[in-house]
Amino acid sequence: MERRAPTPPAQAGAERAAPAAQPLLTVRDLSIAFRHRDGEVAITRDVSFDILPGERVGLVGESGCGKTVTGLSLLRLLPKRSVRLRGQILFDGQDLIRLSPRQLRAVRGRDISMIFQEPMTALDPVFTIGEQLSETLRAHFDISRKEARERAVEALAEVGIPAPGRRYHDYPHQFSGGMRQRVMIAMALICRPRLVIADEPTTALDVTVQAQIIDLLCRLSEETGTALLFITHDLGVVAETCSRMLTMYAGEVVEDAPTDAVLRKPKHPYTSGLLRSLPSLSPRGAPLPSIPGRVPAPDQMPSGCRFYDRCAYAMAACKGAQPMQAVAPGRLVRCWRAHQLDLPGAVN
Amino acid sequence: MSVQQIAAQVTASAAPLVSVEDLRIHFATRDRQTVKAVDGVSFAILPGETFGIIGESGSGKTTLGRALVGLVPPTAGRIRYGGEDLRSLPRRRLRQLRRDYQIIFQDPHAALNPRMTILQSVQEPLEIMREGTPASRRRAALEALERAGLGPQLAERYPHQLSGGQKQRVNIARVLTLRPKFIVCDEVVAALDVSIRGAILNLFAELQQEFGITYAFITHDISVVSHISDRVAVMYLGQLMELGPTAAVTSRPLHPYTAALLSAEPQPLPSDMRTEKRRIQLAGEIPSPLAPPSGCRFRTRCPAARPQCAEQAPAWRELTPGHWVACHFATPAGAVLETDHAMTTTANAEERT
Repeated sequence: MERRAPTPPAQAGAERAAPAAQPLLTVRDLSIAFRHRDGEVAITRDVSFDILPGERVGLVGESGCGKTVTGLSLLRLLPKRSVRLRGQILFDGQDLIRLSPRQLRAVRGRDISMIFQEPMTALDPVFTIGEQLSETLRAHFDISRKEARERAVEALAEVGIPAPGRRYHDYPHQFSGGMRQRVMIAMALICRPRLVIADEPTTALDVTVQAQIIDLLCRLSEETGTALLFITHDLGVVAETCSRMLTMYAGEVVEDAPTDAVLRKPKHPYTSGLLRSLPSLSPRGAPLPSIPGRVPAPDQMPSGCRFYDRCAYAMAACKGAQPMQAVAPGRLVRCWRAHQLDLPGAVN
Repeated sequence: MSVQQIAAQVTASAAPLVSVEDLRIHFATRDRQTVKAVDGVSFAILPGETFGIIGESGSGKTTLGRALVGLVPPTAGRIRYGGEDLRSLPRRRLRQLRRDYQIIFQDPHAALNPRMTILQSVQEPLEIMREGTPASRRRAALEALERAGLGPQLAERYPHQLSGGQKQRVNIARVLTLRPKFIVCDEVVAALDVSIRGAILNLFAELQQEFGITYAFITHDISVVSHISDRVAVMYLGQLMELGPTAAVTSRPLHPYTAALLSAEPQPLPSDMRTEKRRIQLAGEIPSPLAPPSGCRFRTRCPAARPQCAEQAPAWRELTPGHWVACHFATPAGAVLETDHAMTTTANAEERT
């Protein structure tokens, strides 16, 4: 399988990452399987990608495609008993898959942290947010309570929480949805991690609040040089936040390319179909394009192209194995017809 | 023909199917406060149109939608159906009328009884109406399923065996059996994946053409509402901020809130094609409906708020034919977006699609 040459992100944070920069995170052939009574169900197959220091990468796909599971697996947050991970998750040269629980605790929250979709369930309701923020700091650094408190108040101010000194003593239920997500962001960034995994961080929010949170995340990632893996189903959000975009379908990455290039000219029929389904891109009153059929069940995955049944461009040869192939510098596609096809994107 | 002319024609041409007059729906909380979920809303829905209602969470749009089909009684004001006020009707007549006014909910799974087969669920409305024989009800249900794009092989299955899109088709088939005149669609595609949303929205459009159904389409998604609606009402904290033909509202909004909503929508376009600095930043979040701001409800987040906004609630006025707004400063040229008198309006900001 060919590997992508790392491309520099096209956005403002790019200057920090020199073109030859070593990836911060390298995921290779990551396969996740869930165990059950009679065996295993493969959830993802051979997921591979890189994230450069400071780069913002979008992981997009529809429900059930494996994007959340992939995000959780990077921090080994899936239950060990029922999940089998294969492949490599190289962060800073160490393979996270092989770390002991103690070593993992040193990475979680310190080097890599996570922001979840629903901040109310991710925050502990019986502790003040100040206690939760300080706890994160004191778990990783040898600092006094007083110092931790000061840094926590600073972190709250940084994410735009009014009267942070007073709000430090409030419980999660005393915050609104948008403010809770700001607290989550403060908590994720308080140890100055090098990578933040954000799983649908704005999906539960209203569109005007979403705009605030997106701007905040982008600003903080630029100021602190933190790389971001942005997991979302919303292509508009990816367009506005990420320089590179990974499209997942049925447990596989099917396209890995700079966001602008994908929006202009997607190379995989699934990515193209997703873009064309967006109501904002169709004239009012005209029928909307959609992708017929549904994702195959995990236990009935075809060995060839997983999009075969739903693809308008499918041919007999698509039933063979589909490795990722390079179609342009920095662009990988899991479709052997990519060179032949001229697919519509978001720009017509 | 200009948008305004079309709008004028629309307003002049037909008697409304549903008219809402100064509707108020208040709920009491446990500690004896009052939530004014809907607080003085008036509009009319015309036969055959798709009337979009857009708003953020807490705007009262769902309560309004439920009231439109009689699921929540008004605290004050009236809703009239073809001229008749539901509350003054005898129960028998109400029951008859009800079948004409249906609702489809956001969560297609929660709306189906998990212990009933698809066919049983789709037949149930006819059973409740005591219409026809068991055989004819079964036939009608299968026809409705077919029309909603589901083959008879799915009829004996249970909801958990269907995908989200298929379940929403079942919910559509279920209301179709009654041949309703009017359907409230409350966030009907919000729970569905993007790739199948299109197919469901297309189905709604086809059914409208075929059966002349009128829709009230409630959503928080501007791209959906602007695609499907003929007219759009923008709701905020229980009140309407703006109402007008979709093209006019989305291309030249008159209310700063509408302008902010439109600009907050993330655009799936390459960076060089997105309008730079397009975002109108709204401070904070929607205030609690327990203690709405005085005067204009939007003033606490409005980039153009002035002292007058706190003192006086803006009048609901028709600024151009068929295009209504509740803002002191709106002009036919567009919304006022800044406090200074330089008058940055949506007219001189770059126009969206």
